[in-house]
Amino acid sequence: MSVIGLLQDAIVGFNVFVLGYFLALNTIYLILFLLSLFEVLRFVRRTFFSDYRQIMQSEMTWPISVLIPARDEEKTIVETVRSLLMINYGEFEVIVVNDGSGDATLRRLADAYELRRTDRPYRRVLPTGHVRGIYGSLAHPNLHVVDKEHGGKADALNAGINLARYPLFCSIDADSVIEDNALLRVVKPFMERPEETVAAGGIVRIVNGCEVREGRVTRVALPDRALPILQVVEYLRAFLTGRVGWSNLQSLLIISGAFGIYRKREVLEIGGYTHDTDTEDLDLVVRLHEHMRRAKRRYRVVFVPDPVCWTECPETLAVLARQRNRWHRGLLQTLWIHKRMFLNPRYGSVGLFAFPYFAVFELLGPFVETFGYVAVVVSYVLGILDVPFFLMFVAVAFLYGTFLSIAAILLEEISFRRYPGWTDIAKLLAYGILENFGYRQLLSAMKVKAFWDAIRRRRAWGRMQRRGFRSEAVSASR
Amino acid sequence: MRGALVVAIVLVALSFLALTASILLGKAWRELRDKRRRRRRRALEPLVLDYAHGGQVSILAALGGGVTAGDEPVVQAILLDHVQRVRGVERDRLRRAFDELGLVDRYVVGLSSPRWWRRAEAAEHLGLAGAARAAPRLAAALEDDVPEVRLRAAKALGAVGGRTAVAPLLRALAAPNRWSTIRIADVLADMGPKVLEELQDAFPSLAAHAKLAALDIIARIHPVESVPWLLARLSDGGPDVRARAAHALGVIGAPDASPSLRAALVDPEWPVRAMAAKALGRIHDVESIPGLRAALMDRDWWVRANAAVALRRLGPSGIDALEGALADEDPYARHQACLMLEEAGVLDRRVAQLVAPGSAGVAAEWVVARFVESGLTGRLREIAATQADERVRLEVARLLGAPAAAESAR
Amino acid sequence: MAAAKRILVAEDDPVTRRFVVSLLEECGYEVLVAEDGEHAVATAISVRPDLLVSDLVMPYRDGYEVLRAIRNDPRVAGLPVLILSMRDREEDIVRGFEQGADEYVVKPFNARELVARVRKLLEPRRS
Repeated sequence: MSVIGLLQDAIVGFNVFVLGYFLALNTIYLILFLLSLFEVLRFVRRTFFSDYRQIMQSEMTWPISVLIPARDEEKTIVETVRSLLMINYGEFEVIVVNDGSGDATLRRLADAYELRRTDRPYRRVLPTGHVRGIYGSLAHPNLHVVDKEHGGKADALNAGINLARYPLFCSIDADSVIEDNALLRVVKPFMERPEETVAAGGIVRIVNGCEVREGRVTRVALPDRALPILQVVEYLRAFLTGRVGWSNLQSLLIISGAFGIYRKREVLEIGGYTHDTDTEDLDLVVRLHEHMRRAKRRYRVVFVPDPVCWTECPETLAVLARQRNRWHRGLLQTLWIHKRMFLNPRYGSVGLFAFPYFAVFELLGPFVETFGYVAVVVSYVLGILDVPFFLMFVAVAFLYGTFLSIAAILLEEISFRRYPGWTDIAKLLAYGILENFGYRQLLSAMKVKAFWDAIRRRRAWGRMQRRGFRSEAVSASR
Repeated sequence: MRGALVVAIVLVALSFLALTASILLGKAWRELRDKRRRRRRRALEPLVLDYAHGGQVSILAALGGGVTAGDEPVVQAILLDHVQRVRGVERDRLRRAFDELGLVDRYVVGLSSPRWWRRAEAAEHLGLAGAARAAPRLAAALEDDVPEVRLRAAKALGAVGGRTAVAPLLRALAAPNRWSTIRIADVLADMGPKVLEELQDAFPSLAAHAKLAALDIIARIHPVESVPWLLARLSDGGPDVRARAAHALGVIGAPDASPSLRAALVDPEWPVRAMAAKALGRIHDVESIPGLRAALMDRDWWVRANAAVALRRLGPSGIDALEGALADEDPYARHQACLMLEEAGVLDRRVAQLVAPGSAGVAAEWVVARFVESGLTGRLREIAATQADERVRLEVARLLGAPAAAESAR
Repeated sequence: MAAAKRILVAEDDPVTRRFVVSLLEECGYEVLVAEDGEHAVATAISVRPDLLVSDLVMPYRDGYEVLRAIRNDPRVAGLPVLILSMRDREEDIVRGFEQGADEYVVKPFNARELVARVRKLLEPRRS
């Protein structure tokens, strides 16, 4: 056998492997999609009348502490807090954690809400950076502000948890725009199964292009530029078809940092948020899973298939790259720290489904994909591959994926219909197709880079600095 | 092989296109339908409202004799929307309209639909339509397999069933699902005083969490007639029952409950003590002050906090008691008193009085000195930096024993 | 013949709004609407109605803030205000009156009662 022949066989073998990979990946997406479809339709049917008024007025609804870590938010913090104080919910408190802002964030708050220093007990259950003071508001007895030295988002959240006095807490990004009924919707799983539910999240939408006034979305619209629209499609797919499915399998690993409700007791048990990774929200949920499974306690982490929160997404490639780099690094760090859960039956569906999925398709996947595309095209051009195989590859890698993108958009159309216009649907469908021809491949390449970055930085773990707590999108535009 | 592959791909693509097209067509159809409905609503709603306000004798007359098939969903939506938002004569008229238009019969039939969401919807509508004659059917629906149907039937029954509804609802109260307990409790609470007798009778045989829900229901109805019964509950074996009973007594605010609540201040279980303290704050009985003052030293934080709030609510004598507690031996009591006096604005008042002549100034100085001793000086320092009156600032600084440095960390 | 009294209705729920408007128009009043708190304050100041019927939970400015804004503005400080709200807890009602409301009606409301209270606020008391 000649070397060329061996090489050819190897390349063909690799190509077959890549084909198999895409087949597997997209089939998993398909399964998740079907699970989600079922769940979303069932959900929409169950809530055709709003029970929410009842939850809101009932005295037996659990009160919630809403935590907002903030740094250098002077322009918008007053509006954000105002809209939160008016949120539809019975009993709740709002705790703003000023994480060492360099600007006038605290002063703006103090002026707008008549803050006075209070000696309210702050129990240092979770260790945090130095707390300079705690303020209460004369006009709004349920608003408090924790002023502390800069310590990062995880640190700020822990400080908020220390002050929080209710059994549930909700973590919100300072630039999230929360829907009016968001708390009611995401607290419902806690009310339905109070002993089991430890964490819940909802669907996050992209706010670019929408009209926002005083912390409320007044008009829903798609962004103008291509990159944000691609992300809208991506989020639809990821949330509507991905997370709902995972939640159904009891393997949900991510609750968005933009909005999530957690039970304080369990979070305290695991020591609150940590600085070990770049994505403290993912890290928290994975640790919750680990802890509850080890303790063999019945629990659930729920995803409510209901849009609850709007967040800003990057408008330029550079910012997008930074954001995805951080996300992927955080994912890899988390997977590595908790590698003992991998294929470990002790951790149930999380260890047996979610972890392997992430290991194969998120860890190795980007490599397979990036090199796979190149390999297949080169092979075809060099005549090593024949047309049927190439066709199958195109079908599996591109068309299958397109099918799923379109399916997600259609699911959105028959369930929530947040994008009512015809041009919106047309745009979404068009970009749903486009997404698979370039955007996804780009994201894969970013993930490959993130992998190398994570490896190189492994020596230098510690506090990961981030500018503010916003998505990089906004910090770049300042 | 290549041909088969191409055919397969084309077939899948085509079927997918068909799916997309059908959904888009569905969207177009729905949009046209909604537009039409909005138009019809604008035309019909004033007519229905005119009937509701009493301008017409019957809904059919108001709508010009009859309703076309196309208009029926619109009229139904109008009726459903408005009937929930009003009470009294207008609501009765709107409810009659459901019957007149034959909608009640339709809903009753819907209760037997094979699809659960239709049954649930029918039950909900029957409740809104106030269809008393459907009560037996709704009671039967309380045994439905699907929990959502059961809950909506419960709600409907609460709206129309009168006293016959109470027994089946109480049975449903025992469901393990907390959410359903909440909703049924809401339904019962909305029914008002008529549920009390049966609730109290059924109480001993209720499950544990249903008992607590029952007590919360009574608290929400807050009937004075239930006070004796609630007082008896204060001796119940279960601490949660005692605690909720104390809470309910506080909500009612009946003065005759005061002696028993004072006794509950020394209950062995802290939730009972905490609720008793809270309740006493709502019953303005000066005799409670010594007991509450003692409760400031309780080893449980909630009890201390509630006692402090209660003292504050008892007016000037309560505030006096709090100020007296500033010199208490027990550090917890001192701490709690400081916090409450701060919150109540008393500290600010006393600081302003520091420069007043005579006994007022002396008393003020004593109070401020106690704060300094206790170490709770955060607010004091803030005042030291921001007080308008120069003399007062100097006084505070002196008492703090530190230079009047502006500690503005802002 | 005196000019019809003008009532401003501030309510974000369109169904309730339509009901209240039709009810008050039936009684012979001229009715204006505002869909949120900010709009309510602006309209009250520019139009100077004879009565404001306001919800508590509204976008942009809630009912308490509307009340405060009106009571602090000398042009409309004397405007009678009737609060129409779902909040029926003791604290809410007390707070409503403390902030300067003249009447407080709880939703779901009795239409006759609402009209009677509106009349009381609009027609001068005979001594």
